[in-house]
Amino acid sequence: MTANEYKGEHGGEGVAHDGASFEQALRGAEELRKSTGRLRIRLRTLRLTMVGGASAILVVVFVAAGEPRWELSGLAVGLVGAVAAGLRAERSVRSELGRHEERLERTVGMLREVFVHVSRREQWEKSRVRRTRERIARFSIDERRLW
Amino acid sequence: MADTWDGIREEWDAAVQLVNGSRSRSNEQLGATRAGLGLSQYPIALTGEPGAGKSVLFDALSGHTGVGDAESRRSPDREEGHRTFLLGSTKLRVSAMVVPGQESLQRERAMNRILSENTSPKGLIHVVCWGHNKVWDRTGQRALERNVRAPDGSISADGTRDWHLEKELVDFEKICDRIIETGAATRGLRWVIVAVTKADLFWNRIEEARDYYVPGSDSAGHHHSAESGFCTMLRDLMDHNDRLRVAVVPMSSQLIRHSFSESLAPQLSQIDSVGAGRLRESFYRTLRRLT
Repeated sequence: MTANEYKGEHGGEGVAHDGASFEQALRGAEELRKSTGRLRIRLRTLRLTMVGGASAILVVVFVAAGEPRWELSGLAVGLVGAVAAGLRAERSVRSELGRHEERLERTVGMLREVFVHVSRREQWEKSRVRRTRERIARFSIDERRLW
Repeated sequence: MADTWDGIREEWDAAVQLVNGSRSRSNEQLGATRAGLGLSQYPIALTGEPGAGKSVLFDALSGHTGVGDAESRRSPDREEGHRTFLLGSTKLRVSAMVVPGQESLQRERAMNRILSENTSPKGLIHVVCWGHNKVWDRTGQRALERNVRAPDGSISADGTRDWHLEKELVDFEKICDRIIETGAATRGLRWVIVAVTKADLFWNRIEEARDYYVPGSDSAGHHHSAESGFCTMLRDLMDHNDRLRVAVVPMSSQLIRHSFSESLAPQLSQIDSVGAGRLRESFYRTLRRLT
C-alpha cells in the first residue's frame, strides 16, 4: 500500500497504532520524500528556463531597438508566450509541491510521536528499533526548509 | 555512590527551600554577562526531548528571559550560541549547542558533532520536564490524544504525562548509551546536569518529581525497589563513568501556562517570578560548582 492509500479512520492521514500501520506510514513518507524531491527539481528547472527565456527576451528587444525587423518582433512575442506558459506551469508545480511537503510533515510528525510507544508496546527487537530510528532520522525537521 | 545521591538530593531540596523561603539567599552575584576578550572556550550541549524547554533554558541562563505565552516557540534546526556566563571570578565563554529533540537529519548531525569518537563537550545539560512537554505539531498532538484517550473518551493530564515520560526515558537512554559508547567522559566530558524544567507547573508535587529523577537509598544504602527507570539509567551512567559529575536540579526558565490537551484546562505556574528567579540562581550555583 502506498502513501496515498494510507488513510486513517477519518479519511485523511491516520495515526499508526501498531507495527504494521507504522511501517506502512513510514514507507509512504519515504515515497513522498522522493516525489517532493522530484518536484523540487522540476520547479528549479522551470525557473531556470524562465530566467533564460526572460533574458533572451531582453536581448531580442535590445537588438530590435537598434535594428527593427519583423522576425525579431515575432521571436520576442514567442518568447513572451513561452515565459507566460512557464509561469503557469511553475505555479502548478509549486502548489503540488506545497501539498506534498505539508502531507510529508504531518506524516513524519505523527511517526516521531508514536515511534517509541509502538516499538515498546510490541517489544520490537533492538535491531528493528535501530533501523527504524535511522529511517526516521533521514527526514528533516522542517522539510520545507530544505528548499 | 549513596553519598553522591544523598548530596544531589540535598542540593535539590536546598533549591526548593530557597523558593519556599525557608532558606536565606546568599549575597553573591550570579548570572550572565557579555563576553569579553581573552576568554577560554567552554563547550556545552543541551539535549532533551522536543518541547522540554531546551532553548528557553538556554535563553534564561544567558539572561534572555521573558514571561508569558508569547515567548514560547518551536526552535529552528540546530541552535548554536556563544554566550558568557559569569561564574564566580572566572568568566567563561560558553559555546552552547542546543541539539534538536526530534529524530531528524539535524539531530543526527548535531549529535555526531558534539558526541562522537573524536568530540565531546565539557558539560551536558539534559533537559527534562516531568512529562510537561509541549507538542508543536497538530498531527503529533492528535496521535498523542488518540493513544492516551480512555475508553470513555476522556483525556487525563497524568495519561498525557505518562506518554511523554516514556519518550523521555528512551531519549535519556540514548544519550547515556552515547556517552558510554563514545567514551566521552574519558575525553573531556566532565559533568552532566539533569535540568528538570517547568518545575513551577508541578511545584505542589516537587518531591514526587525529585524522587522520579534522583536515585535514593534507604538507611542501609540499598536502592529503593520502586525506583523509576530514569533513576536506574542515571545510576548506570554513573557506574560506567566514575569520574563524571552529575547534578539533578529543578528549574523554571519562564512562567508559561501549559496545555496538555485542548479538552483540559491549562496548567498554571504555582510559583511567582521571584521563586523562578531563585531557581535560576540555584542552577547558576550548580553550574559554577561543576565548572
